[in-house]
Order: sequence, then C-alpha cells, then structure tokens
Amino acid sequence: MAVATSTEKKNISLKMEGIVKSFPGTLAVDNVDFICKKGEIHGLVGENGAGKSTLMKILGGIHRQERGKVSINDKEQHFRNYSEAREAGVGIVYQELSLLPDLSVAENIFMGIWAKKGKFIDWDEIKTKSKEILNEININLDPEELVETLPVALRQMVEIAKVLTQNPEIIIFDEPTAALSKDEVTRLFRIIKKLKETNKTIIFISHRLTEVLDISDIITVMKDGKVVVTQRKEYFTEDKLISAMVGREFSKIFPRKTNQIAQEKLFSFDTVLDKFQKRVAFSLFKGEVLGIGGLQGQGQIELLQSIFGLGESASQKIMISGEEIRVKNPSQAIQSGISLIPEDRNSEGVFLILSILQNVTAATIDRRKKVGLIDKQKEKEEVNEITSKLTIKMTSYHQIAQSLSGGNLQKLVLAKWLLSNPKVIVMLEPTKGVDVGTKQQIYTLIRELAKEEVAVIVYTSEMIELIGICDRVLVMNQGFLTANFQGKDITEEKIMKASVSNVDILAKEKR
Amino acid sequence: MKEKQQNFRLYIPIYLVVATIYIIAGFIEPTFLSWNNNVNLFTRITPLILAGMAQTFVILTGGIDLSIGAIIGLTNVVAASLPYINTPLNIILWLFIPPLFGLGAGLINGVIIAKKGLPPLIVTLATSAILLGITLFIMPIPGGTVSLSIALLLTGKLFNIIPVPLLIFSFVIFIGHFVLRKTEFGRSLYALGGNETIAYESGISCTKVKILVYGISGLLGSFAGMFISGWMFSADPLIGEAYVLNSIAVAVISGTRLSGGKGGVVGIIGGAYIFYLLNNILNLLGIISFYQYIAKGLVLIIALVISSPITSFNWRNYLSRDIQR
Repeated sequence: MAVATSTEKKNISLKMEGIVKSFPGTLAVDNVDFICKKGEIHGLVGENGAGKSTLMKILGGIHRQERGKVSINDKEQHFRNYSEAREAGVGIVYQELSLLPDLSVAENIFMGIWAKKGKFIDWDEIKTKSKEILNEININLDPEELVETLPVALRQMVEIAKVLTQNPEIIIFDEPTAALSKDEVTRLFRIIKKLKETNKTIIFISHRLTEVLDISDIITVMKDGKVVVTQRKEYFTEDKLISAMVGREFSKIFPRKTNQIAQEKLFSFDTVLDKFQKRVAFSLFKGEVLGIGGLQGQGQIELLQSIFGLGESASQKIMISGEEIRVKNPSQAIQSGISLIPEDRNSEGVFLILSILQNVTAATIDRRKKVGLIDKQKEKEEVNEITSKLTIKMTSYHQIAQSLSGGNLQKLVLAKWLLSNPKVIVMLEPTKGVDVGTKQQIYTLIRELAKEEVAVIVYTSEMIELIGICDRVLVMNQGFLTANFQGKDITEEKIMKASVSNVDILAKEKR
Repeated sequence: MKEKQQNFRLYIPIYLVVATIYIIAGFIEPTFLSWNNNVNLFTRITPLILAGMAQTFVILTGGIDLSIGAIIGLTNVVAASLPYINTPLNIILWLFIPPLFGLGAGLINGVIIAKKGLPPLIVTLATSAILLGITLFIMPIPGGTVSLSIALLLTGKLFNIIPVPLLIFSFVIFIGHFVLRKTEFGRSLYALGGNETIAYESGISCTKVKILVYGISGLLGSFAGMFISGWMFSADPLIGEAYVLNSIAVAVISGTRLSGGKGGVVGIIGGAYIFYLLNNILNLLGIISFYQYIAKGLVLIIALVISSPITSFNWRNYLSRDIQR
C-alpha cells in the first residue's frame, strides 16, 4: 500500500484498527480494520451475523472492544457508553425506530437534550429548532404532531433529525431502507447525499445490494467477523458483492432441490390478519418448501405466528390433510402437528438456564409416559438420537444451554421441534446469527424434512436463502400476498419487485 | 445412574455445611450429638421443611408465595379449633379440614395469579393480609387444643424407635423429589421458571401449572400448620409470620434459584438444618432477638449473593442477550 499523503490523512475521519470483540461461543468481530473519510459514503454489507452491527455498536459506544483502537479525527477514543460516543460525534440512525410514539415530533427530536430557560424546559426554543432541522433536510412537518400519527417513512426522517441535533461527524445508517418504498428511498438518498456535501462521513448498512451500489462511494464486505474486501464501488457488481458476502459459490451452499413434489395437498390456511384487515390464503403440498419473502414488517411474522395459535384472529381457517382443525393456542397447534421455530432464539427459543435435556424435551413432555410417569429411558434414547443427528456439540445433555454457541442453540430449538413429529413446520429466520457451517446443515435438514413429506414454511429476510432453498416463494407486501413464484421464476429481481411495488397497483393488475 | 450423580452433586456443599456445624457444635457441647437432642431437632425443623418445600415449588416456576405464613397461621388455628375429644370422626375431621383450607387458599392465589396475570408478590401479599384477618377472627389470641392422641402421635416414635417427624419430612421430601423428576407437572415447573413464553409456546399449559403449584404450596402450608398444632398442643394466630422469610431462606439456601427454573427439594432438609441451627446457636449464645432478625436477614442476602446469576454465571452471557436482537 502506498504511504498516505498528509492531505489524505487529514481527510480520514474514522479509523478503527485491529478491533476484536467476542461473545460466548462466537468471535463477532475478528481483527477488523475500518477506515472512513470525510465527505464519503461508505457502504457496509454482509450477511446477518457477519459482524457489521457489532462493529457499529462498538463505534456507537454500546459495546466495548476487547482489542484494537478507535480514533476519530486522529484522536483516540475510549467510549464507555453511548453518550460518550455521541459527544465524540457519532450518530446512529437505527433500523428499528427508537422514537416514542406518544410524544410529539419536537419532543422526540430533542429527547434528553432539552433546551432550558432557567430551571424549566424552553418549549418555544425546542419547537423552532426542530422546525429548522427538519427544514434542513427538506421535510415539511409540524413539530407538534404526534409521532404515532406519522407514516413509517416520515418517522425515519424524524429519527434522522434527532441524530442531526447532535451535529455528528459520522452518521451511521443501519438498514434505513428496510421499511421504505421506492420513492421514499429516493428521498432518503437525497438527504444522505446532502449530508455528504456538508463533509460528513456516512456509513450505510443495508441488505439491499442495489441500493448500496447506488449510493456508496466505497464498499466494505464483512463475513464471519472479518473484512473480506474494501474497494471503490466501481469494482463491484451485484454478483461480486454476493459471492464476497457468502464466501463461496451459490450452488455449493444449498442442497439440490427435489424436482418433483407430491401433488397431495397437505395444508391450507385462510385468515384475515388483525393488523392489516386483509384476507390472506395459501396452501402447501406434502414435502414442499415454501418461502415467505418481502421486506421486513409486512405481516409475515404475524401471519406465520397465527398458524401456530399466537395472536389468532377470529376468522382463520386451517386444514391439515383435508380436515379442519382449531388452533387457539400453541398447545393445540402442536397436537395438530404444527411446529414453529421462533424468530428470536434467546427470548422465544431456548430456555437458557435449563439443561439440554430439559430444552429438547420441552414440547413433548406429555408424549413419553409409562403408567402416567415420564419414561426416562425412552427420553434419554430420543434425546441422544436427535442431538447426535443434528451434531449438537455438548459434554452431556445435563449441560446448561447458555454455554452453547449460537449455532448449537439453534440446533437445540430444531431438535425440540423435530421430536414433536410435525407435519407442518414453520421456521422464522432459521439461520439468523449462526455460522456458515450450521447454515448449510440447516438447509440440508430442511431438504430432508421435505423428503419425509413434511411441509416446510420458511420466513427469511435473506434473499439468497429464499432463492436457494425454497420450491415456491410467496411475497408479502403490506399484509397482502402479492406474488407466487415457482422454479425458475424465483429470482432476486422478481422478488424485490413484488416486495417494493405499490400494493394497490398490484391489486389492480391482478384484476 | 449418571444422571442421579449429577443431581445429587449439587447438594454436596449444603450437607457439608450441615456436617461442619454438627462437628463444631459437638465439640462445644457433646450432648448436641445425642439421639434425644436430634429427635428434638427433627420435630423443630419439620414445619420449616414443609414451608420450605412449598416455597421451593412456587419459586421453581418463577413465582413466590408470601402468603405461606398466613396459610400456616390459619390452618394452625383451624386445626386447634376443631372438636378435640378422641373419637375417630374427630380425628378424620382434623385430618381433612385444615388441608381443605390450605388448598383452597392456595388455589385462590393461583387462580388470581394465573388467570389475571398479576404479579405473585403482590397477590400473595394481599391474600396473606386477608387470611390473617380471617385467622384473627377465628382466634384472636393463642389458645385452642387438639386431640391428645394426635399430639402424641405427631411428636412420638413409630414402634418406639423411629421419630414420626423424621418419617413425615422424609416422606414428603421423597414425594416432592419424585414429582419434580418423574411427572409431567414437575418438568413443567422447571420450564415455566426457565422462560414462561417458551414454555407456553412449547405447548405447556402455564395457567394450569401455576394454579396447581400455588394449591400445592397451600396444601403443604396446611401440613405445617397442622403439625405445629399437634406439637404445641394449641394454636397461635401469629405463628406463621416468621415462616415467610424462613421459607424463602430455606429454599434459597437449599440451592433453588430465586428467579426460577433451577433447584430441587433434596437440599431442603440441609437448608432447614442450616437455618434452624443458626438460630439455635444464636439463642444459645444468648443473643437478643433483634440481633437474630438482623442475622436472619443477612443470611438470606448472603445466600442470594452466592447463588445469584452474577456470581455464578459468566456475566458476558447476560450482555450477549441484547446483542442478538
């Protein structure tokens, strides 16, 4: 590498060197160097669990690195908390909105940094200042309006305004476009470009690769806690980005799809989701792997949870093997042969303080009985069989789940639900935060289940998984199922188009 | 076999402490080791073991039963208010009426907590006030009595050899252990205490389990109340008060995690011994009662600190939870 000239050095606003951060069982960030310049938009991409978020949380003062140093404008920083990072000029626009819906726009923008007149809060000052900041990013919004009443896109703008009040040097956008439509994205990009012109440093994190390629000047790809490549955007194409992110070729990660699916209908579901008040219906064949795609928060989770008896709506109708069943709670769902791998493994999947045995048997305690008592012998056999099948690494099944790594925890959840012999298994983000090896294992498992004539429904926010493992993909958009792709039609472009298009137009086209 | 070893290994430290106390006490006062003294001890710790076990079951689910003291007080008073002439009918009444009170009070706790989703701490605090009111209505000052044969039986010896209290608490602990290890209900307690959301989503009927566990707590509380009535040969409406803190302390000392999901009943006898002997030693040393209160409180806090997640687990595990979100 050439020696940096002094002007180049001056331009460097952020320097993270040799950053290391680990969590139990995983090395989240492994010796990462990350350098940003003033007036530059730096795209940061990688799969879930690649370490992007952890790296940004270190920069934002939420985590502390174990090794390595962070310097801003050539000054070494040791953030002990979020507010120290903020004072040093780091602002983060979060993906999940951090606004308080019951408060006004102005109150949210100035939350915690109230302007004061004597001992009291100076509301007039706060309102005028909020207005100024909103004008700066070309948003025409009444500061007194309640956040609750605003659409998601405008809330995002309020979020940005909130970050701008601190006049940050470095602004991190963490998946800002996840919930936005195309027009809204364009508007957001205009704001980001404007910020760039004021010589700020921008870090842009997104899963939407086309957008990253569109807006970034320079792109860093992370994988398994390491930086794979940092290059100017001209170097990349979308394919190049994907293969850098995944680290190997597409066809090698995913098991082969079966060519024929039994034409026997196993499961059908018909409901009206409370949140969207729209009718949704679909059905599955035996041994079919159905993917549910779309942007995040379009009702996919609500839809799939309601199959399992969580948040049931009055009008739902479920049929399994031609028989109508009632699912009012998870217990009934399990008895009817439906299983659900939850999205958040730590709060809904694994009993962290319980043993492996207690975890694996939790959904089937009532199924191994001899004269009314638990048949310990049978229990042991079943646990041994399933844990070795899924190659869960453990010292004994009395080991406490907490000490396992993310991948093994996910296998634990899978083991629990496989023991319940499901006919239909719903998986929400089955590979979230697990290593590539485990991912591959989960994909193979899904295929095996399909071979055993189980119907599998997968919700994943990773496009390549939808394409790689699903026989059929439904796209959900604002509570509607807007598309149904099969075979060769399952492509990133088509899914993306169905995900971001205006629902009303699609509805019209259908008619 | 291996599993059993694993289970019992947890309790070794508790019984080591008990053994140490015995050895030290034996050196200071050799009569402490005498059979008579020990028979006496069995009687004294039986209600503590019963109350500790009630509390352990509830704590395993992540709840707490502050009304255990009031239930002991109520059933103690009820047991001593029943007709006490030695007839078979009277003995049957004595055997069945107090447990009905205990079970009923416990089930009411359970229904309010489970059906309304209210915090057990407040619900049982409230019901304990109500129960105390009822108790004082039935018997405002200590009094009452029980049938002589019951009193003699409860503190006597079977075949003139085996002390009945020893039989009672061994039997109850055995049943408790059996329920926790071998039944669906027992397993469900741990799941509920481990994480209620996951337990629910694993098809466990959390409502039923909760109602039942408070019912069992009330039932065990009534056994303690009945035992005390036989032992004291009378009743005291305020006798239960001390058992609130004492039962929690015994549960925690015997290795049950205060937030649920971990623990068992095998350590309870040891826990009760440690707690009782500590009291006893303080008494023997002639320490005034208000210092004893302070000491009890300190013991509970120390037990909590030793068994708390922060000291026994890697703190990083806790931090890593919010990262995955």
